[in-house]
Amino acid sequence: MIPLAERIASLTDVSLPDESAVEHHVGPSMLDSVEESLLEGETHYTVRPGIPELRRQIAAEIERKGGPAPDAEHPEGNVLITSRDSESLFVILLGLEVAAGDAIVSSRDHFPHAALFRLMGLEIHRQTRLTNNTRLTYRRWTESSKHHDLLALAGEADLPDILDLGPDLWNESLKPFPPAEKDRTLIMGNLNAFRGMVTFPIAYVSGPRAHMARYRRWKQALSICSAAPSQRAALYGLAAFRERDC
Amino acid sequence: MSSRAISSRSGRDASQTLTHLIQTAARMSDVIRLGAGDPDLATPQEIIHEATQKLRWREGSVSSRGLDALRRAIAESFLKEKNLRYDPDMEILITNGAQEGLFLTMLALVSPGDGVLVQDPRYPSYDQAIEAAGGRIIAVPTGRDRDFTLRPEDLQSRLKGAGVLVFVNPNNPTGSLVSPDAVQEIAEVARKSALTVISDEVYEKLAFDDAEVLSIAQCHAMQRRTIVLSSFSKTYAMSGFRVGYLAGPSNFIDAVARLKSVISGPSLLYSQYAALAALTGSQESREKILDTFTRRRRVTMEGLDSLGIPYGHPGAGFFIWADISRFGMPSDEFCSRLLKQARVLLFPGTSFGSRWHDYVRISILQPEERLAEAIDRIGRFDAALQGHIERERNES
Repeated sequence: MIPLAERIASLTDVSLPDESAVEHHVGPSMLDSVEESLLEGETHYTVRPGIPELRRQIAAEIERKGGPAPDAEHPEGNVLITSRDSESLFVILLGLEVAAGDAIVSSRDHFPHAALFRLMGLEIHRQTRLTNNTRLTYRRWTESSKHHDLLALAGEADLPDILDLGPDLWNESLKPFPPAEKDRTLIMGNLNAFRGMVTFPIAYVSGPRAHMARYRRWKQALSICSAAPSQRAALYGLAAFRERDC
Repeated sequence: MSSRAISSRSGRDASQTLTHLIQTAARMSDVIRLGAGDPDLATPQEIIHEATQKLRWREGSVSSRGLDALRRAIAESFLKEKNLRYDPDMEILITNGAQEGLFLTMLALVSPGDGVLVQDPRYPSYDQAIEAAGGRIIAVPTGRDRDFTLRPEDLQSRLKGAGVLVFVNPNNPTGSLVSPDAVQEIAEVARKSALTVISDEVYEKLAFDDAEVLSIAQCHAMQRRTIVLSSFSKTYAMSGFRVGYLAGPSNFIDAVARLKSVISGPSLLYSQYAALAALTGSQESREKILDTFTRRRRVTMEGLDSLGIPYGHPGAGFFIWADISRFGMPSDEFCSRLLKQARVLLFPGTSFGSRWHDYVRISILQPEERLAEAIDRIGRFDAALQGHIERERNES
């Protein structure tokens, strides 16, 4: 038995699901597109924060939906590509230098990332009020009715505010876009809504350009960059979505 | 603070110089890039075709620890090549490259304040992973007199407070390869001191001159205290796929699997199919990659010899650790001036440990003719520098 770090004790109830149950619906043309890009030489690390075109498209969509406008000259500088939502949240928390005993205020009791918060030693406070140890607010687009309250709370104490869009950035039926502050709100989400993207998972973090270096640093330390085939599949998924939309 | 948590982090980053160099190089034309460790060669096409086919037909079952067939292939490879027996269901985990394996390993092993022995110079990601876990780096110095390899006696003198040893063999950034006898001696120190060893073996398939690479896990009673960390990125030129693996005792693998489940979820299935194709297919392409690096290494070594630039003997991988002290400037400045004046990008030694201002890391990830051209440019840079010094001397 190898001696383990004490933090591992917080993970005893984390299940290890059988991934065989995950359904994969990758269209042949998406797969062909991924293969073609690889055969053309995209087999190397991508630019560390992610393929610029993918980052630009995510930044543009956030702005189009009513979110903060990205940097005019370098919109890709506002976005970091990650492998999954949980990785996005992890690099955000590392970048914010949260410490054990800090608290997150949220409007929900249950979180998809509760184990990650626990791993980081964070308390989750459901009440929308500040305590001495409050370090940030966290809200999910479709699962919170208190966006304004939480953002106001973050503003009151000058705290970072995380807005988790889940897979819904391209969901045209969801309106309006939740309130966000350009210099305060970190937006995270994934591209799982596009057909095939569960097989090629991609997620993102978007925030003030001046702050992104700290999240990029931890993403790079964690896994250098996100897998090139997934990023290429995401670009294919976005193009196919636009084509259908037109 | 609870010792359970991920520790608070300083946010310090020693890589700003490196980032600046890379960004400067990106704005310039005709730069010969001998900095990064991303193989310039393309992934063999048969690996890509095979991965596509397997995903198309969705072959095999997969757990959150990775594709079953891939874990079995890795276990078979350990048994065949090293006579090490691993249970593929309990003792192997697929990760998003070795980098993720390293990061998760540190989180699984290191509590705040724990000492981690790391060879100096070292790949900077170790510092960040140890920092994230709240550990304390205990640097074990190496020197040119022993080709920058880790020596048991140096390790022995720094054991106080250490619970984990990071053993990178073959080494990045130095390219050094520790002899099997020396590995045995290091294993003995680790065993007697009850150290857990993280054995980074990312470059083990890229040893030159048919040199033997002994895994420390192969040494007496070491498998149960060793975590082997590896990837497919370097051996098969697959860095963009982000796939690697950990092999170690089941309690450790179980812990890391849970960490991975919470932090990043399962690795990309397509990349796992590609890794399976690489491992189980013809190894001809891998041998060609090694042949290519062997030729490049020779060109670079001969070039450095001709310029009188000393270096540690590169036993494996694709890095050469060169001594630039005779240029009379610290490595940051040397790399910056070399880039601007000669359009050659090298990485300063200080990116791999603060005391290495007399060294640079040269990667051989360019075609032979470009490497020869780089040597030529360094020679001209040297001549211009000497001329400048001479003129200043005459004027004074």
